[in-house]
Amino acid sequence: MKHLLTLIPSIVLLTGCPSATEELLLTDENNYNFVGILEVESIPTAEAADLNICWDQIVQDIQCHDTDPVSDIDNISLIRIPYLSETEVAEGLAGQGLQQADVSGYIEYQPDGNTCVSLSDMSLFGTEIDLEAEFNEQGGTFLLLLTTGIEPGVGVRVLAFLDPTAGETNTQVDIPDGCGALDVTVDLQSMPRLSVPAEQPSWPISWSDLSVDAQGFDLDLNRIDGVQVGYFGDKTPADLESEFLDLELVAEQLFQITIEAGSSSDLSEAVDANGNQFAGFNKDGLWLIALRCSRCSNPAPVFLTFVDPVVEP
Amino acid sequence: MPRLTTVLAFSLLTSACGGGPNISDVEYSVSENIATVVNVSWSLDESADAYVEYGHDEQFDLKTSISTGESHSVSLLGLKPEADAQFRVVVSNDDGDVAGEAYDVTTGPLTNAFPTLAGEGEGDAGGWMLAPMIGTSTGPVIMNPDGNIVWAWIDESGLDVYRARISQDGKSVIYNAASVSGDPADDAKLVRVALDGSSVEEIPVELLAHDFVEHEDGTIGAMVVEYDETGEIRGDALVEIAPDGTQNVVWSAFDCFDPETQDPGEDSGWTFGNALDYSLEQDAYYLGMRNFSGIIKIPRADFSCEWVFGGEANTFEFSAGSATFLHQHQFHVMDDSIVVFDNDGYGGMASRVVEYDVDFEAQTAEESWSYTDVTLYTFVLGDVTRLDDGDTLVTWSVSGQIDRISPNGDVDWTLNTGVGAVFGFNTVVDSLYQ
Repeated sequence: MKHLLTLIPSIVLLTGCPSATEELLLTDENNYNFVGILEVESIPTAEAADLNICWDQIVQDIQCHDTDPVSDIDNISLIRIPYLSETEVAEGLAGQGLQQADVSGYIEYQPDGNTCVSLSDMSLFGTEIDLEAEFNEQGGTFLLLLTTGIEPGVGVRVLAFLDPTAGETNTQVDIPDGCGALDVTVDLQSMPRLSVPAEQPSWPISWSDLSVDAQGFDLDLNRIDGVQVGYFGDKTPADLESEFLDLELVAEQLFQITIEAGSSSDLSEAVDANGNQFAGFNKDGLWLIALRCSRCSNPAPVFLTFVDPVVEP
Repeated sequence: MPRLTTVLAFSLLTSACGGGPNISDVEYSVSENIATVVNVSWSLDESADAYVEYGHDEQFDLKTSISTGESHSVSLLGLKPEADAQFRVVVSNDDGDVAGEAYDVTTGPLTNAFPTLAGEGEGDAGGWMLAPMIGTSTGPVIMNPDGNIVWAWIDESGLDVYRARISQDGKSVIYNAASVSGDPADDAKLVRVALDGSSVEEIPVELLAHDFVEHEDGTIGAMVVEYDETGEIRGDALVEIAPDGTQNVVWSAFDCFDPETQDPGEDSGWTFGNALDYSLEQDAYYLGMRNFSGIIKIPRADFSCEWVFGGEANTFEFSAGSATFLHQHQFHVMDDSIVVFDNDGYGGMASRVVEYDVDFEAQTAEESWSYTDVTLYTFVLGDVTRLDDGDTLVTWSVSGQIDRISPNGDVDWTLNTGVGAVFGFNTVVDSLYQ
């Protein structure tokens, strides 16, 4: 059977008549299912005190990827969410439950090689936190984000809650390792696969019909800024369920497109890390197509499906 | 420089129904750079006034400014992304306005750097809004009265963008790219982007700060930071940038106030100007100073400090019981009242807007209205505009929320961003062609 599959494309080539290009239309039906639960460490601290915050003990991030506290952490930010509990904030971060209006304060610090910062050295637009008035038990929930890159809320590697508590005297905050904070459950086996031609002149793709993301939340198509095509060889969907946080690491080949506008693209524009262009679903094995939102708080793909390459007679 | 898309259509010589100048050579193309903008050009067989009316669903409810001559070109602004639209050239003659043939066009997508926005509630924002978005991506956007983004530009400088305005000549959007966090940026500038994104001009302005205005003749008045001779005291100045590029400092806080006797003692500097408006009728600037918690009137006739409303250098008498504002940002000065975005005057973790009835001759003021949402704290920025019908449009900048508030305090319409995107100052206009 394998020989037959490889023979047929050769015949097509000999005849010099590639099949007509079909648009790959992604639908909600083809999407995987994702449930993510964030269990964020809450660190009791003194109220109205200038804390010393350190992250030198971090070894891995929330996806359990190796993390260097010096070279991987570009920004430390503290966000105050006055009217939501720590549980509600964690749920919001894992899903889509947070609005900017929930946030009433944001200060940051770019460490430039340091692994500790005083709370009083963090600021935004020159505005510092008024420790006496704002950093106390009544101030709400305080979320500390350590990120790669300096775009607010993007590239989160490790996070923790600071919990100013009356009577608490702790002013030393040692941010714990991130691994274990994110509990992910994915279903990569229930959704129907997308049938695609194994080879055709190009691979126009559209996600304009998608309405919800993998968690079932309304999907803002304008937030999608990346398309990935991954080849995983002999791995099975069950294998990838257990390796979900490492999808990009375990892929034998990974082709990507950066999307700057719109809800369509062409997979023939996808390239791998070495600059090789995607040449088609031309190998036996497991292939997937994923849509990414790099600016979303949840790093999981908003869409992911497996493809069944079909060799046309 | 990016080029425009291929011209999509030509028209043969057509005559507007009802006679008058003939319309010919109608050409149109969707901009490659900002795909909600449609560039239209046409010719008339005799000089005449003409404009384009356009819209979605054959409503033709938008119209450009009027141009005069035989050859015309205009950029259609305000169309939604990835949507069908229609337009037609309208010629003005002795018999009135006569519309020509209608054309169909489909806009393309906008950048995905900014979230999709849509307001909720009754009615709309009461005007078109030009507001920088700041966050994971930063740059000026134009929102229609429903809160949908219909024009967007990404600023890649890494600087802060606080204000955007459509230029007086109707050909570009001007915005400031500066830094007010700590020391001012060395590469601060005003940026002029053609409406169709086809050209970008940068005007370096040393120590540029939060806000600017443009006068009818194209002169730009901008806030800049100014240090005293020791370099220790941070004040403010106004610089005027003439259309030929000449820059002149026209006003200095050091000329009006004395840091030895008038110093609120804030860590962030001395006066810390943070908002600028201009009144054509008064030919005067209104400059807000955060650390003084006051608003200064600066007539262009002599660049004096005619009065200071509130705070450290206040020259007004406020009625007993009137609220005082603290660390305010934008404001709206009207004939007999001022409404102020008051960041910290309410106290705690809430901001508010406060309106005062004002007798500018007698320099007396009395609080007449206020609105507070105790769940919203805008610790920096914030803007407020009194609409013609008496409603108030409040931009809770760092809360990523814009509300239309009725005089009795009802929120009739609201717009929210997701987490990670905030608004700068909000320039509200009735039309994109003024």
